[in-house]
Amino acid sequence: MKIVVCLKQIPDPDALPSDLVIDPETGKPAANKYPLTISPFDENALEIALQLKDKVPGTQIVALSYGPESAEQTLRKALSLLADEAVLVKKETSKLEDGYGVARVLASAIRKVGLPDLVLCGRQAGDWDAGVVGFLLADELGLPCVGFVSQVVSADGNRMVFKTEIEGGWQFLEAELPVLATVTNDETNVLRMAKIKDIMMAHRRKVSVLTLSELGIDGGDLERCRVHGGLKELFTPVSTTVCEFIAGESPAEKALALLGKLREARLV
Amino acid sequence: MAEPKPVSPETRNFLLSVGTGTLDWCMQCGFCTAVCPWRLAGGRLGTYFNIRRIQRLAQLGVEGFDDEEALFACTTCALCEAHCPRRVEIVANIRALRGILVEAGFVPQHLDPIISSLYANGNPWSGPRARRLDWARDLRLPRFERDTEYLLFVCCTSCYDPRSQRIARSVVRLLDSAGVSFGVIGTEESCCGDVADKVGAGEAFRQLALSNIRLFQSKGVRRIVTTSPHCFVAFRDRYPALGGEFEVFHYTEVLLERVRHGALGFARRLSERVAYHDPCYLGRHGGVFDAPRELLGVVLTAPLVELAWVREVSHCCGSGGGRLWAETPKGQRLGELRVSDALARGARVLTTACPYCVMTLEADCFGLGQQENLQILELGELLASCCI
Amino acid sequence: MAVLVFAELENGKVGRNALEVLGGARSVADKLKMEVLCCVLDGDGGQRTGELGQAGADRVIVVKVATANPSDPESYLAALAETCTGIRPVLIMFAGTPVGRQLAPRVAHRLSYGIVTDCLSIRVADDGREILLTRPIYGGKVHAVFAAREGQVITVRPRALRPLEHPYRADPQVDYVEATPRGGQPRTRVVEVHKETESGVKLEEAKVVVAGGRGIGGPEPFAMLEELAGLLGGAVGGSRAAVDAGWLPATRQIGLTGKIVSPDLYVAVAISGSSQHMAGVANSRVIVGINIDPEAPIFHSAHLGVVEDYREFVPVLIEKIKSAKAC
Repeated sequence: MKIVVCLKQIPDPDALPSDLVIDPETGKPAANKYPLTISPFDENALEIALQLKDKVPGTQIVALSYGPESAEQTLRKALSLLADEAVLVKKETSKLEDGYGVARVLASAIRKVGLPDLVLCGRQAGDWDAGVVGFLLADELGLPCVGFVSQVVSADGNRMVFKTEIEGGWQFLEAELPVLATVTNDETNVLRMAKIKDIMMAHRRKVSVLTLSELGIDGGDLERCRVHGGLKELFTPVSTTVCEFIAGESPAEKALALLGKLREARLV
Repeated sequence: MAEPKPVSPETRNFLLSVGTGTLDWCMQCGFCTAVCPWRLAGGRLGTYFNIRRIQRLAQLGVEGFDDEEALFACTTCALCEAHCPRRVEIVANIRALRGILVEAGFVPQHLDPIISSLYANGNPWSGPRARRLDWARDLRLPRFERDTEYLLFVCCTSCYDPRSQRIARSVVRLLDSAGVSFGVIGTEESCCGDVADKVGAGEAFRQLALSNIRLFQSKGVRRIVTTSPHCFVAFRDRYPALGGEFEVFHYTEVLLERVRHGALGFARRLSERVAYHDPCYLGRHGGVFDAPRELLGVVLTAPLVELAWVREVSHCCGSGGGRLWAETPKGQRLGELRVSDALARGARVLTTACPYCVMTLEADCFGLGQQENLQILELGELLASCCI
Repeated sequence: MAVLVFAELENGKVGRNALEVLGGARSVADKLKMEVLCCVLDGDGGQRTGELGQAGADRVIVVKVATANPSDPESYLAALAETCTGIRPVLIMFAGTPVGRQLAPRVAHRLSYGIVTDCLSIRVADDGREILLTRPIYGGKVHAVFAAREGQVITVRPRALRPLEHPYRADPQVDYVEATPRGGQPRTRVVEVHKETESGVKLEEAKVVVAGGRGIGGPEPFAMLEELAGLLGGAVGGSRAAVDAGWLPATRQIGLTGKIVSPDLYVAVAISGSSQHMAGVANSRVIVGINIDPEAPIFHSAHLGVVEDYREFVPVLIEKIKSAKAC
């Protein structure tokens, strides 16, 4: 079986200050230094791929990333977990691109490396949290799409059964291969630790680099399909942490007042 | 039988090249594992974490030295180093091995929010930077000026944890009474970085340290007094390599000097039976064993209760090296051993001089249901209560 | 020109998500003087057209797809996209559920529409020319505002919009669309569906968390917290002290060394508010602290504070919620 896992390198949102300023041009923090990480749901996707490789002998994992040179770190991390191949499509602009453009680039790259049995993506990237690329990619590739997968329950040559999240529960869903799955987290798909020996070896392995022109994509085209052109404004929501004490003469009065506040905030 | 794992000279050389240089000094005598406090805690880690074995596997480059649970179990208490006949720098080796994983992006789950918060907020507690001085809200706290003698550096824990804030407030009160010239910088300060350093988050440590060093230098800081032994050791032993040369003191040292000069006196004496727990970072790492004891000698009417393991061979509370943020099952915690020991010796108060130790011992004392029988007090709190 | 809502039903009923999206669509459409069309799957919502009208729809389009399964978007995506293509609404809205979030980008793709997900607010600009969409990025640290394109698909975050307060109309026009299945067998198939019961809400995923601390004093009062959580559709957890005391299993521990939670509502009952604990709930939207001690540190982090003995307060609160639900 062949699996392509799409990995995005992002500024670690948890490691950014609360007074974060985002540059609307690049979509990235305005500060010049911030820690980078693999988008968390992409890590869950990678773990699912690794679990399949553990179970199904002969499984080949291709880690694919579209990003700047620094995204090579992301691919090294996948290599240190024994992904078989790493492919970086070099992003030629620092400008923010929308999901349509990214999905087109990824689709071309996947066609170039050979259409696999399974394409895995995180359900959304942890920076802009849009959650569209995986689904658009399925359409670009003409694949059926299974969203919000937490586990692969079984796999034979032609079909796979996924456990997927639905509103208020979960379901088992069977899909014909090839298929694209977007992955959500659960306790079974936390990315494993690498062995130090494999981290060392990963430094020596090759990351294949593809350019947009090698994929037959015109960078200018990508620019033109920027839907983020509709981006009007970025602002930091003000959060008040001053405690408002609920007034009242009796517990009953306070309970009513509290309920009123919660209703106002649409919490009950 | 398990399959034999191959020896890898390549891995071994790689490890030696990234900071485990003293690994080869180890002759596998096993003293380190024999004295490790985890052996006495009776839990899973008592057998699973075996520091001799980790070093042996690493020496040979054999898989297993990088097992997450074992590698991140070490509290970096350095009791093993105190016993090592070959002077192997065991804590540095642990730090380097952790560093390979963490720097490659493999951060143990429990440490992820800690490291993220260090980057985001400059403290491990997810506390907003703007609220770093909340602990001092109603105090008249002097600001550090060019002619101030000491920068008072308060541990993040005592800035943000409500219980721990009492420690910082007590230390301020004592320094004030002693007429020490001190001041704080405030919200621009960042965590000393000790946690980051010990869990292998080298880049986070470097950024925190450099930001503090630049800040201290720009304000003209020469002497620093710390509330926590972790900051004390980080500033004194780790900052110089990054260009930060300061004279660093733990507050017990500064206070003792004032007591000796008659500048600080205590109006009240305590007659309770008090035991003292040596924080690993004040004692073994910091080399300060006598200052807290001498200060206690001044205020206690009864002799100090000494625990079974004290001074150079003191046992850890369990919370160094990032363990404060790891969960150990109840009944298997190192702090419980210290609390039980203090109770067995008839102590009513267990005092110590580290915010991590206080937080840990207090939780473990409560976990054992002994909160009515043993009070956990930070030394500064105990001394300040004698100031009236 | 119209605003179209895809209404996903919950266990065959017009649930909260559909009510919110229709309510939001109604207010946008009123400002733009447009109609609200509501698309539902036959079987899923074919019998609920009256309710959808009351919730804000002018017209209901019942899409009949022989092989459709509501929880498998793949099984009816093509039919839905085709229906939308026939109408070309200005704005197509989905609830931010797993199904909605799967459908929205692919419908957008097929119509060459813009796509903005996870909207917290939708408003028509003062000049009436633009629809402005606000959504959180970077974990909510920053909000981004987009101007909707001429053709725009969006998903809306649950609980962000309000259902209509008064029924809109009871008799919307109802149209039936029959989709003709094309090309071969469906490539996906739902094997088994499992819905979680309310009491089985996972702590990490719960929208409401009620937690008790050291001040609870024993295991028994947690029954009271369970009842409160049950009424609010949430889960119960506790501080490390409560777990150490044996009042709760370790799997219910909240804090840095336990579960990290980010519910919409976090109710801290008799919890002192140690940094260890509070750092594990820091991303909660609203924190309510209930503590007898007005100086308790919990009030430094709480948004709403109640200074009362929880033993008296919580039973009264439970009673008030029950009576509010009854009427």
